[in-house]
Amino acid sequence: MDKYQKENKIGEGTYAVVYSGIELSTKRRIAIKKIKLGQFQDGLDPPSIREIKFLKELKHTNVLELIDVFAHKKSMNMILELMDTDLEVIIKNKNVVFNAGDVKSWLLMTLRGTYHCHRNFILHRDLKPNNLFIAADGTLKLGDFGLARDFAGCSKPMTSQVVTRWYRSPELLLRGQYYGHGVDIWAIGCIFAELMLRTPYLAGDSDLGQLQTIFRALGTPTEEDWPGFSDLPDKKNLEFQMFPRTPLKSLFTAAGSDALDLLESMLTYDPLKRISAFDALDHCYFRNAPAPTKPEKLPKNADAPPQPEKNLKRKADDSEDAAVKSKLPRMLF
Amino acid sequence: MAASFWSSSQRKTWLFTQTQLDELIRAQKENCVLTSLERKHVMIYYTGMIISLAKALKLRQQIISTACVFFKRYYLRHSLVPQRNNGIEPTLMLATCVYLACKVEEAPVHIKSVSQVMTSNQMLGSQSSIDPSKISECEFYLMEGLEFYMIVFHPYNAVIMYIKDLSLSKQDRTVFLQTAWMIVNDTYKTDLPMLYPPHMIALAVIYLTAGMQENALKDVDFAAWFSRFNVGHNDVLILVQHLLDMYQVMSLYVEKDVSGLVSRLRSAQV
Ligand SMILES: Nc1ncnc2c1ncn2[C@@H]1O[C@H](COP(=O)(O)OP(=O)(O)OP(=O)(O)O)[C@@H](O)[C@H]1O
Repeated sequence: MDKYQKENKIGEGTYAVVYSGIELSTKRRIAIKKIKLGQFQDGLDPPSIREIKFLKELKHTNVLELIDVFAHKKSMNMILELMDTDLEVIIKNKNVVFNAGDVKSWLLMTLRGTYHCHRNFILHRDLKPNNLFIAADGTLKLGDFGLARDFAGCSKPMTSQVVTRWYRSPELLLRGQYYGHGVDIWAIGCIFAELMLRTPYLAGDSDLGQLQTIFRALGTPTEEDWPGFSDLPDKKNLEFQMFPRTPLKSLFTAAGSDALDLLESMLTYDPLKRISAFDALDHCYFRNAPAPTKPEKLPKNADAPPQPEKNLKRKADDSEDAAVKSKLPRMLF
Repeated sequence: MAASFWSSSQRKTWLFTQTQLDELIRAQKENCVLTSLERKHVMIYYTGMIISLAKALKLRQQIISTACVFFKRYYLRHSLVPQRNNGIEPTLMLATCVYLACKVEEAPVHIKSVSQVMTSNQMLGSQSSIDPSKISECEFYLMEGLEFYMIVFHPYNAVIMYIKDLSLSKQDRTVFLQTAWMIVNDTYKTDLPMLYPPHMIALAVIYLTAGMQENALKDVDFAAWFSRFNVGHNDVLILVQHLLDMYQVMSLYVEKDVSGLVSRLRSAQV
């Protein structure tokens, strides 16, 4: 602990309190994430274990760097790069104006970080603007690996209760247990749309409502769009209203056709046909004008940042869902 | 198996040469009390305890193997003779290894079940029980000892993949896989997982298995086969020798004597 100097408290989550600080040897600004122990008689909580386990393995410009971990006075401390803000704050700050190059730059960095995870057989499983941190130099970094999972085996069923609802892919919403990197790509598609719209694109109010919202926006999928769709655990018991497919162009009026093509390939229903991070990075959208804005030139959150209100925070797993579920007749699920 | 081995901490931080490994082990206190062979036997003894704990908890093989690797990595830099000041007994540490491995492999078990099994199965010998709070406290020290690197790669997937590549009848393949699997499991009683990458262990295990089941694969040119995976025949042969040494060490193992060694270690507190 004597290698670092602790300054102010800058945030608090369920499992940790975060302070700003300085690494004394380099004078580098850092974040100290102090994991609350004490009340955990079961040792370190699983999200913190995942975060440490994956961040120790992943080193990339677009992934939040874990500089050090150590135990100190009955608590676990993670030393992280200090981030200025996150993409949710920037999107919500209406004083900040984005241009098409800025959106492209943020999307590019998100995809690069995600590709690095996928290449290492790691799924993030909770991508959303709030987990895309922005460093002082404008670089975007993926953070919060508390739900991440490795998928090299792929044959083991996994829980579908991951990813904050608005960014959750249809295969997860139908409680598919065998999924892959497509869940991250879907979330990135939603983030891409949100960057263009400046408001969450598919904001459902419950798990079931989320599917409705998606189908209304993108058309209800048929067995042809998505082979295997009808066999997913929750599909069998559900009747869906058939919504027609409306062209994205009608909502995203300002977007170029290359941007819409990429968006559409990210929001493809069939996870097997959904674009991969690698192919997305190779999409002509990134080669066409305008060029992605250089990170240091990206709009900052300098003007009066309105902090996102606590109760508006979107969580991956909220009890509200459970409440809604228990009220609905079993038939629906 | 998780993440990519080539860029992993296992390759960068947790693979040693035999010399490096010997030096690390020689630096430990137990060296004044144990010969090198005796230390190997003590390790087999504790691995056996990990396995019976894991079996009682009905854990998957990969979790057991991860727990074994945690245990070995920890004791590379810590003495098997418990220090008087922090008092971590290897039995407490191995229970903690199993508990943490379950979390890391995404199959958590209740901390109380771990302590219950340890206590009720008389695994602790003359010692009293292991309290859950001791395990959660020990988890701290274990993670620190692991330098917080928790992803462990195993040869199991590689073994399956390589076997598919050999032309074996369905029946032969089943027997082959079973034998190979058992040999891989045995490697966790030794330091081999800290000396060789998983795919090398997989190839050597297959070579050894093929040798034991002569008929099935007697026409295969293994040198050529290894070179397809960019691995030298000679390197595999060295590793096979290690596997044979491992069985030699195991054949000299006498449970009663090793129990005696373990009590001697306990009383050798420093
Ligand atoms: N590296 C960092 N640099 C700057 N601020 C950070 C950093 N890491 C976390 N924070 C801030 O600290 C807050 C708490 O972070 P933490 O990861 O503990 O919780 P969370 O993910 O926001 O919430 P929860 O753990 O409840 O899901 C975050 O909202 C964020 O604003």
